[in-house]
Amino acid sequence: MFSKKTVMIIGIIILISVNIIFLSVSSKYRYSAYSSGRVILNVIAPFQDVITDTMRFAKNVWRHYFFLVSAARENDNLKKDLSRHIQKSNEYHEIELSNIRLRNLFDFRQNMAGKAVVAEVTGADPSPWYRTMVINKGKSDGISKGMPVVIPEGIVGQVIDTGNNYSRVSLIIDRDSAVDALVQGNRARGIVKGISSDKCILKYVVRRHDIGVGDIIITSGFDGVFPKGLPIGFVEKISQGSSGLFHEIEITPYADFGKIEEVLVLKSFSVNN
Amino acid sequence: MNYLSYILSCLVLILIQTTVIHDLPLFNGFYDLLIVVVIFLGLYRNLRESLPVILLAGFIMDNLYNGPFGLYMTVYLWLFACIRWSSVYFNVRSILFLAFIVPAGVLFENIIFLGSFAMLNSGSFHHSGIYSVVAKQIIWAMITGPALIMLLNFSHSTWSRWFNMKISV
Repeated sequence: MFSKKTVMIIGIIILISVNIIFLSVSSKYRYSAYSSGRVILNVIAPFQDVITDTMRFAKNVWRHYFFLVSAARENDNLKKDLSRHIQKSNEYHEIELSNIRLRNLFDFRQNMAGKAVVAEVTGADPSPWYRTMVINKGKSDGISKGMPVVIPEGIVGQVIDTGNNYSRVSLIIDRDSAVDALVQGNRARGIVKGISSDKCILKYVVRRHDIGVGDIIITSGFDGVFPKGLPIGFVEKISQGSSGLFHEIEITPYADFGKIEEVLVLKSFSVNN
Repeated sequence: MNYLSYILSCLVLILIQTTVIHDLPLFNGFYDLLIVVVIFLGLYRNLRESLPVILLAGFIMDNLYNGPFGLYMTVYLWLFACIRWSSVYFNVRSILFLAFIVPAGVLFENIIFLGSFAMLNSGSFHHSGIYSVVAKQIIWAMITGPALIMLLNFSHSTWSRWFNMKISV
């Protein structure tokens, strides 16, 4: 009744339709107990760990023995000191601003006194359109899904999947990431969304708020994931547009995602009343 | 034994893609290396040998990345089908064909990904970086694609010959 060509075309159309339906369903239920994901993570991650350790060793040998030995060591120490001082400076600035506001009306104090676990980065997302990393700590170290991941310079992302000894972290520059944020100066609120490049977009900031290039963006704490006051990045570019209620603001994150080697996973943080 | 060598090739390329390449700023924006394997299998190997390897490679990639499950399997299977169809009409041994087919495969993968973002409305869709990401991948594919396919072909042929020799002895 139908020619071979017609049957083939109909078959291809049906296959494409089934494919699209399957992808649409799987995109809605991405994290629902995909045990296969954890199995693959537990199998692949140890090899990633070995390769990453080998590369770091080779880099260290190159840095410390083929270039100026003492200069490299001093550089490492200075970088660690600088990271500590940047973190302290941000904390003090945030404390200073919160003291100026009428804090006694709200009567609460935020304190990041929770436990943190140090983890090394062992691998990255294979796709350029998604930005995740694999770290070498998992359930056996007390890590669970939803925990925030930070470095002294700023926030990095959130744990989205855990194996026994390895976990996957979705970075704030991932296209599916969204962090509730504040502009540090005027406390304007918005959502920092990743766009798969090295930048983020701060959305839903009402246009009546004055935002300037260089303004610091911090976590608001309202998303229940990140503690309040952690640095996210700074404003790089603002697009006004001719209409619309909101600014379109481009953020450069403080974390340099191409160079992160160690991270802190915050296992708990307390909000004290 | 052929299956084992293909699977090992896939695993090595996945590890390189998720560790070595990400650590080297020079290769920032490199394309998906498994496309080379899919094209190699589509051009030089039969369906019985190729299909399980492609399904396994797609399955592993789908579990390693952060997007909709099944997208990599979709890309690899449709790319494989297109390669098999094109090999009927073109000379697959020609360097010119190889120089074209790898960037075409990379472009095909990116079109499927971008189409899925638009259709499934998943995550933020920002236009600014798209062209540079795709362009970098295509340029890398043009430079390294043919060489990688020839290297895969040579190494797997050598391996098959060596293994058959050992068995016959």
